[in-house]
Amino acid sequence: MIEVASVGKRFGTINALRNVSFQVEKGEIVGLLGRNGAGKTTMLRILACFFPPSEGQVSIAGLNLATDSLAARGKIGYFLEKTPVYREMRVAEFLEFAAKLKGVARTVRKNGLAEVMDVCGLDGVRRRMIGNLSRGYHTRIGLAQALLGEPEVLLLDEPTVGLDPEQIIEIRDLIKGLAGRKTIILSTHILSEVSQLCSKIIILDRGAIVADDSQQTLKAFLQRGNAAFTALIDAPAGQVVEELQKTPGIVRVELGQAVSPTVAHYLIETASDFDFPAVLCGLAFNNRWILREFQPAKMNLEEMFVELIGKETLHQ
Amino acid sequence: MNIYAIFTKELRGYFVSPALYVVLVAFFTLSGYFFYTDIALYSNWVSSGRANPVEGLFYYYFMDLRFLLMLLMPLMTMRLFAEEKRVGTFELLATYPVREIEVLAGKYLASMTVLILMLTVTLINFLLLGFFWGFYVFPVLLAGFLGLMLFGCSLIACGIFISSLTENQAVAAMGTFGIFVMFWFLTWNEMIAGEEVIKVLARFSLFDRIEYFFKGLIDSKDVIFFLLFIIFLLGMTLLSLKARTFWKSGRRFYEGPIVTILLITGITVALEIVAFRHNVRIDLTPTKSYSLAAQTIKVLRELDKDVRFAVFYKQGQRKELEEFFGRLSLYTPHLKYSLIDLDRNPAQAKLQNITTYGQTIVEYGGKKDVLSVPTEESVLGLLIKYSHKGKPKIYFTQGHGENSPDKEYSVLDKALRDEGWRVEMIDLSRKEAADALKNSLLVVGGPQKDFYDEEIEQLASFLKGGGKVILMVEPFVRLPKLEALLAKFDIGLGDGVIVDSESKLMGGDLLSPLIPHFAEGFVADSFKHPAIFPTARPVEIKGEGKKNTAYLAKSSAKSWIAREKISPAKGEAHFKEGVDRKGPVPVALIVVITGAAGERSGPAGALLCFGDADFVNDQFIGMMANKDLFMNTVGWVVGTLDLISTRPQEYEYPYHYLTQKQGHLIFWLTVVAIPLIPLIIGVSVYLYRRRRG
Repeated sequence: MIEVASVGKRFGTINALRNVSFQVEKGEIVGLLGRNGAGKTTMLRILACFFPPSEGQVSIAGLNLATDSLAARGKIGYFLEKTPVYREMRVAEFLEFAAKLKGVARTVRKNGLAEVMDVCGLDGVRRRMIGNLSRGYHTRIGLAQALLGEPEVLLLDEPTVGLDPEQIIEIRDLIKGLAGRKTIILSTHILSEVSQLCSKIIILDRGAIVADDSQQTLKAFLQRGNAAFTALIDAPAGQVVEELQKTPGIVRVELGQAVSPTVAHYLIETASDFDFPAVLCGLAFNNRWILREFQPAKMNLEEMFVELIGKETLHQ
Repeated sequence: MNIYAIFTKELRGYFVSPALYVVLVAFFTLSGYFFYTDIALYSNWVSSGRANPVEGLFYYYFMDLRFLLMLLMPLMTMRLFAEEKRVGTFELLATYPVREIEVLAGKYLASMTVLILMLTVTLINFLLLGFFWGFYVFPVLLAGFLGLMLFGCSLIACGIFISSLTENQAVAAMGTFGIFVMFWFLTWNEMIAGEEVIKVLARFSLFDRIEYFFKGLIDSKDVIFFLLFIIFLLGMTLLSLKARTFWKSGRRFYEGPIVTILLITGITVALEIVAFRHNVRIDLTPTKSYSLAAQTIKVLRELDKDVRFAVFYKQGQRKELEEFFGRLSLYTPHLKYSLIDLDRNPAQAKLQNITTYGQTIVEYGGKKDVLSVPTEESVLGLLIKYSHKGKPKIYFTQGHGENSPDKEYSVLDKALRDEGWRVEMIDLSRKEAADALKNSLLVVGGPQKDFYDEEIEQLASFLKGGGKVILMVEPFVRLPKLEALLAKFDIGLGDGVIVDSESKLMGGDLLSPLIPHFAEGFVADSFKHPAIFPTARPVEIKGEGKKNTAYLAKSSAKSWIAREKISPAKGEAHFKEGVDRKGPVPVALIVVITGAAGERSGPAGALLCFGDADFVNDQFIGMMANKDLFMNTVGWVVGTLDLISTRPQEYEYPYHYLTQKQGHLIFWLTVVAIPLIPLIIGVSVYLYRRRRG
């Protein structure tokens, strides 16, 4: 359905994308992962025909974007991360405008609009001015306009940002419901979202693909690092690291910021089924360490994951 | 379809935004206020007797509107793309299956609709005047509004273009305004640049180009200039909208933006040059101020050698002169002119003995003349003089109490000389008169005494030898010998005087009949006004079916011939059944005299007889079409000018002023009532939308 062949994109001297190639089959939901500035949005903009790639070829549903841009755009629904809206328009008015431009035939426009508004939870605000609605509604409006006109391909750039948990679940269910019928590329940095929704994952780092894999591979990554703790320990740093690393079940130990010559922060990563609090207390008791603080890591899993992936792949 | 969707969306956007209502209220208030003050100014001029509504009021008002548009339109166009780019909706639009050109067209049309709305409301002001003064000057408004429309559309195009370059609305508005101010100042100071530079700058100046629209003249080259300006800027806008797509793989150099820009610029310039060379004018002024007489056009077309004009002008006259010579150049490639600022070129002026503003040196085939002021008549006179080398002299007879070119006919004399005729007097009783008369035109301007036998003979042989004579005879003058000669050619002078009851309405008295009917081919329908003959007698053709005679002019059907002297003041002007004869009465005829059968045929002589001599004296020549009638007759009779047409003439505007009541009405309606409408609507829309959220 989507074919990207050695695509590159330069902005002046900056290489936003480098030799990116991948394919997406019809009905697949693909997660596009990467840190900020990794090139996710650039990739989506190329797919949405906002601008052409500097090199390489892209085709969607058999249409070459370089030559059939207009036809291809008709098959795409694009959700922009910034969720731009016409503030002075009313919700229904804007969606009707979008439907007209997307070429939705007059006969089906009304039903299509009603359906999309229902799905996106906009029924209650159809006569409200967009500018007066909250950001969560802007996101829904952005989704609604992307869904208009039954596009074959959906390009979703961070679709759940700014929504409350309930809405996030709704939207995820919505996307799940589309699986099989539509081809979806979902750009996000929320891993749980990817793990729930996507059958395939593409990870971008600094404009290049570092992983293009299935859900299983991702799960392996996730399981490797699903427990982490931080601790503030008053003890010789070398000894702490050495002792911890010796302990089976602890995957990784990182020496963090030192508070005083003997007191320092530590970041400890363990297997998920490992009883780290008990082990740590035992070690402290045996080695006469003073345990000043101890808590599960606040750093969220997603960030850590991206961090890890980024570093590891660079080492390879 | 897409254009329509974007158009309606933009239009809706305008009408729900407070910005539009602020602009509309400002525009209507100011346009109403300017209208009111312009009228006040005009009223002042009118009372001092030197203003007409077109140049004294409409022109100034259009100039004011132009200024208001320049001030306010950028505020309407600034957000069109800048806002979309800032908010990011532009990316949304760009990824819909819509072409950039459709987006542009939709937005452009929406702004144009607002412009039309603004201009339509100003039309109300003119309609008010129409109700007070009549609608006869309305064609002029067509040119004015066309000019404003083109100007406004240029502003929109420029505004959209700048808006597409930036994300900042203020920058877009200021940029547009700045560009127009630059165009405005282009020819602001004639001192800064030389003649050639000014010529080029004036060509680019939107403001120079628009002025004559406001005076009622449509020039195709200016219309096309504005259209090209608009299309060029829209082309640039399109490029700017597509700019992000330029950096793509496999693009050849000729697909790049620079080549496109050069191409568009080149085509625009080429089209402008073509339009400049092939200009067509539509003159909508009631005075036909910017048209030439058919006669002038004919003479211009016949030019076969270059004629050069060098005008030493006063600052501020350049535009007028440019227009005047532009008008002349429409009909000939042989007219060259240069405009020289007298104050800046004193040495050159001194060299040419130029001492006053407006003096013009005319050069043609080695001949050189100086005109005091270049006007259509003075230029025409010179051209006729230049173009017809063997132009006959015009002789006025003397010795029988005729009107004389240096007394009663002095204005006619000057008019004839202005057209390049040489005017002299002749005494027919002298022998050498026969030689002098050869190839000339003889005018007998109202003899009081009869001719001597020798003079009659002289006249007869002159006519038979192909001479041309214009004979003008006053009523109640007895000229037996002359009449006997006329009888030989089967024509005669009628008795009595023509009375015209209609004439009084037109400012004449009852004994000054209007002459509204002219024979076809003589002055066929080309006069707008009738001529008027102060005391006229009938002329008649004797016998019937004569091929060589024809009546040329007749009085109106309301006139009649009174057989005796009457005094209208005493109420004697009544048609007397059985005594008087009903009109129309012939007052001019011609007889063409060819040699007798068997004789070698030379040029045909012609005797043209008017039943009045006063109609071209200094008192009456300026009335109605009198001057044209005579001047055309001279040309026609001599045969140098085949075409008889209306000479440029002074159109008299009716005297227009406003009563105090009307002035108040205009003030309250245009300055107060009309601006209140958008104010009320704007506030209502604002409140409604706030309440409805």
